[in-house]
Amino acid sequence: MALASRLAWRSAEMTVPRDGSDARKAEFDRIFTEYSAPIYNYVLRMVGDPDRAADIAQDTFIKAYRKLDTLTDASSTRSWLYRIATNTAIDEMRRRRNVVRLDADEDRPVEQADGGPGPETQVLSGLMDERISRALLHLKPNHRQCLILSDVEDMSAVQIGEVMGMSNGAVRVLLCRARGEMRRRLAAEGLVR
Amino acid sequence: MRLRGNHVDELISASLTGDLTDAERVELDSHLVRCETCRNTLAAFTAERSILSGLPVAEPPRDLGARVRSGIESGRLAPWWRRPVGLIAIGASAAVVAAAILAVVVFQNLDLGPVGQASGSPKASVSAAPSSSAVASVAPSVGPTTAPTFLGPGGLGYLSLTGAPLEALRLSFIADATGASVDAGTVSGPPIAAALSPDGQWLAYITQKGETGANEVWALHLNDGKITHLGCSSAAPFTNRLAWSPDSRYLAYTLVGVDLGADAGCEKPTDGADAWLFDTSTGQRSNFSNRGNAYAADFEPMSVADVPVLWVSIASETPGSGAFGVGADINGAGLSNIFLPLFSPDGSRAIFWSGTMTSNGGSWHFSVGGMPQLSGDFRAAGPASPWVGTPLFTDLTPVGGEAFASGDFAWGPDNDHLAFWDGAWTGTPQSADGTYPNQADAYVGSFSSGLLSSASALALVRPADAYLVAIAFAQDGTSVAVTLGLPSAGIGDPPSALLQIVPLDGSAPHGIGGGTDAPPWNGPAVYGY
Repeated sequence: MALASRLAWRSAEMTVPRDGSDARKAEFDRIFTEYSAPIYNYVLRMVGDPDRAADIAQDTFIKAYRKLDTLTDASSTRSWLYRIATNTAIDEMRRRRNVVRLDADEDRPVEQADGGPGPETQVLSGLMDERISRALLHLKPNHRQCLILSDVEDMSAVQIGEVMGMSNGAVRVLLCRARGEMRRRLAAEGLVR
Repeated sequence: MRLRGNHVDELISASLTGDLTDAERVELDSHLVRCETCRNTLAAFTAERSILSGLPVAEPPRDLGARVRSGIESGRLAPWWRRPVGLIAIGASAAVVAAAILAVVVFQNLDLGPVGQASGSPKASVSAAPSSSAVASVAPSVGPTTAPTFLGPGGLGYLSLTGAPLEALRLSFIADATGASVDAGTVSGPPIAAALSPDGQWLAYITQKGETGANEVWALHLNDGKITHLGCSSAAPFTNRLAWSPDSRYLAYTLVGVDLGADAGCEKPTDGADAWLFDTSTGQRSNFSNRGNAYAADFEPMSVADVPVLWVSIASETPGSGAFGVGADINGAGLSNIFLPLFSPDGSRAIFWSGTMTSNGGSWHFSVGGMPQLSGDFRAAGPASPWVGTPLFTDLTPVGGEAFASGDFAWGPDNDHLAFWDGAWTGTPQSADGTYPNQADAYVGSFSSGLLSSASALALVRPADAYLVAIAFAQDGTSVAVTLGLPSAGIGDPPSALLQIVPLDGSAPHGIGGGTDAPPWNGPAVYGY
């Protein structure tokens, strides 16, 4: 039956292994120390709200700990972790956008379907130029994502593809569209021509 | 390369991150010399990149490390993410089931409400029950075509979902024997039900619509790959039944009204639950009922005078069901306390639900005494109504009316085997260890071997927290294909499901479709005729 299966999927709780070895813990500590600030900033720019960003960053690292065994090449730690963060942030935005309508207890406003600005715009304005934040949060989530990975995180198309699960060519196309859209948004704010 | 008119925006964009080949660099430099528009684009993209790269860096919360450690130790994510939403409260009322024996009452002129009936079919009136005379007088149905089918007789096919969760979930239908696949399009959630048309030319399937609490119904023409979107529905109990008419012309299904908003790409169907028809000959869909509490059950296995006969169930405190000729006058008499009958392939018996139902926001479930039942033999002569059912489970005793709220069942091709799964048991466990009945178990048995009991649970090889999505019997009757959903390894990770072939002789199951780094969702499965 569809409903019960869906709820089983939705409410599934992650079980974190408790048998971590010292080496595992040390590796995780290294990752957390190096990436906690970048990951927090990355998701903050994705969702625009410090509290939500903290929650997403928290869950990103919990999931990273659980999946640590899947990280076989230390050189790919960055893209591996950003991919987890990306999926976690996207899922959070998707849930917030779609699910709150069904939840009578939810008192947060519904985010626009295109991931556009909500109350987070006001919060973000304290952290960066309001016009930039407005332009960024108006982008489609995948446009915003690849633009941040490229221009803030300084990733190449190949690296962005590893994070987003896309081919190099698809990233180039997506990035071009995102730049065009961001250009129009910034131009409307008088920041670029 | 992305061109905007004669401009090279994609090259300009890629140049900012050093992602150009030497040839592309030469091309871009040459173009910029003669194109002022592209020079302006380069300047704007460069300024934009400079603005973004200069964004201030924020300090993460000082307690982030502690929160992560706490989450790891407790095994839980940030708590608000786990909060279930849109839950239907399923529970028994204070009422008590009066008797195990069903009181079968015929109520006349079951009304499906004003609808636009599918056209083009001859009109006919049909009997409420497939009595022996009715079965004896039916004309042979339009059998499967002789055209080659995608799966071939008995061939296994299954849906396979790959990709990232947002906007990039790709669904394919794969023939296991050949590895050939048909693109089933981009969807926003995993498939949870599938049904192959008797002629093997169409696949109907249901996918979850992201995390909205809704499902989408689709039809895929396996010959030309055309995909038809048949509507959205609340993911309510009893809405994953996909019934094909014997001649493969019609697909019957149920939509429960759900309003996802203007941006969801889903128009709201009628309020509440109604039966719908998809006519493969015209590509049109239409609602077969319009009363807010009607569910598509099953087609008679054989048409009557070439008119497909659809059983529709009416949900109410005491549910009922009636048979209707598609395109015929709506005058099917109904049977009380019969809900969602599913006929055996030869039409000799049916599995159906009985019990007291309750509505929750337009969808219905059993609140008291909900039990799957097996009918008697419709071909047998005698005074007893074949609709006086026998409980499918021989060792379950509802106490205080607490029984199943919902569940799924299926027939084997031999008209003897049957399966029940995903039963939402609302009562106290019926075994000493508290694990029976188990919603995560599949129960497979046969009429000839005494129906179902705790011993009928399939021995599945699965993670402890896997859940049952769907079951399909192989056409040779020796095994079932079981789709096992896996809880998300992490919120935002792609959905994942295992497809296992479970032999009914007790030998070990084996997997279909294999796994990858990010395991895909394989299933549900269907078998060719």
